[in-house]
Amino acid sequence: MKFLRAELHNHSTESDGALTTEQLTAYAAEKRFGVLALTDHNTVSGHAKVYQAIRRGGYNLSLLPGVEITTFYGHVLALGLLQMPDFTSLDPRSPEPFFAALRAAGARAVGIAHPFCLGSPLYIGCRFEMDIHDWNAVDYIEVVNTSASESGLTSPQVAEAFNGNPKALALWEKLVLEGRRIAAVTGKDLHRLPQETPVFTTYAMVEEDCPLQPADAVLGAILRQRTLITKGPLFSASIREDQVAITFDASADYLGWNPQKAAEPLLELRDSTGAIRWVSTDLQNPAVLPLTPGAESAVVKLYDGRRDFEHLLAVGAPLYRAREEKE
Amino acid sequence: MQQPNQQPLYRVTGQLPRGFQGHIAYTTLLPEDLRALRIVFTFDKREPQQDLEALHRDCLAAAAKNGVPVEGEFSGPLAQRLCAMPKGEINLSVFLNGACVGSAHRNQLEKRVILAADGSSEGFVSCRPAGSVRVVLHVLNVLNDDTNYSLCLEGVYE
Repeated sequence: MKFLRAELHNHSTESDGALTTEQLTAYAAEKRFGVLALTDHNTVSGHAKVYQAIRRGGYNLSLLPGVEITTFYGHVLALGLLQMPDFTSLDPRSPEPFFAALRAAGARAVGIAHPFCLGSPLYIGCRFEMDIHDWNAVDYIEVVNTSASESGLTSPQVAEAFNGNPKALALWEKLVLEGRRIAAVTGKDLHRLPQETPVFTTYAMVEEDCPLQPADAVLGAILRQRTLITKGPLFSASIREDQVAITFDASADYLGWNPQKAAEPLLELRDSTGAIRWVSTDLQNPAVLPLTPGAESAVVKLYDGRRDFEHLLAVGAPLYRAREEKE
Repeated sequence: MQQPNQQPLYRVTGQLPRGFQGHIAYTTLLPEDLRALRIVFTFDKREPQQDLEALHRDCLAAAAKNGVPVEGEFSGPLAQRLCAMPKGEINLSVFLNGACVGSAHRNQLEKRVILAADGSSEGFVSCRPAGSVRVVLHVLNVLNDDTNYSLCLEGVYE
């Protein structure tokens, strides 16, 4: 297995970003985004320009074309969308047809951006206010939006409150523990050059010999809930009977990561029966946590010291017993 | 100054009340043989001018709901920054023959768009303006009564 880094929420001057597609592409290549999703507001006009910029620059970068469908009731990220549909007849009280229309228009993965960011009258239309009746219509949630953290304008705690990240993560975890198949990702929501701040990023977990282009591999990982969000450490987890086995990946180098950066790392396992267990780890040797018999799904998180959002280091891909046993 | 090969197609104006939110669409058939279509949209009163005290209270309440620590009512740099955030916002999208060709989504009172086969404005794909054009105003936030807008379409010929 290998880990592919992906930055899944970015804007250019094709909408309200400050960077041209050329500048954004060069930045993404310099910062080793791996996979760059271009998600301008309600337009696909930048896709061809980024493709050209990658070719001209010879960059080691893969474009994942997308759009941030910017409605009055929340922002929806449509990855793989190549033609912007008409969204003016969206009913926020029953948005599932709208999500279906996005897929009919070519979207391959549909996600909710910053669901709990500041609402009206501060940000209009950014906080997610649609009534989801069928969570099968949603492939992923942006559980950490790092735009405020990377703006340099506020303290880390205030930044997280601006974006509502703790609530977004809690929603995703609740859905997973209810058995829903939904991935967690991060997003820079990049509108201007970010400050150099240690923030979360997304890694897709794909097979070592995966023949797909990186952008397609990342899409596939999202659709199979094989994404990890992290500030550095990489790990994979699997269910083995009534245990969860966690294995660390030594290839982690995001933000110059090494295991010594964490003072008191510990792994936490929450499963669908409500049980919570944790164990200290050295971030190198495999770890095992017991899984409650009958638990159908689980979430593994890595903390440094305290088990709260401020000390969160990584969130693993969700675990589903039925799928693990089948595999 | 209008050039000989340019022709105004139409200009519409409107006025919006505070609190209005919705989509306003203007649809028309374009003349044949256009080389380009020029669209200029403007609106005014972007900054809040009415009921500022109530607006500021709502801003702080929205921030507090998310756990943002506000130093004190109407005081402190963070509170001031929050109260300065609300802005009027109207964006627009353009559809040609039912297909979206782009959107002008940016924080500006005036949006100028060119659609042409040999290159369109940022936010829009290159396309020959022909057939039915629908300009949709996405009225996201109107902070003041009597907010005026105008939309002008102009055809450019060879």
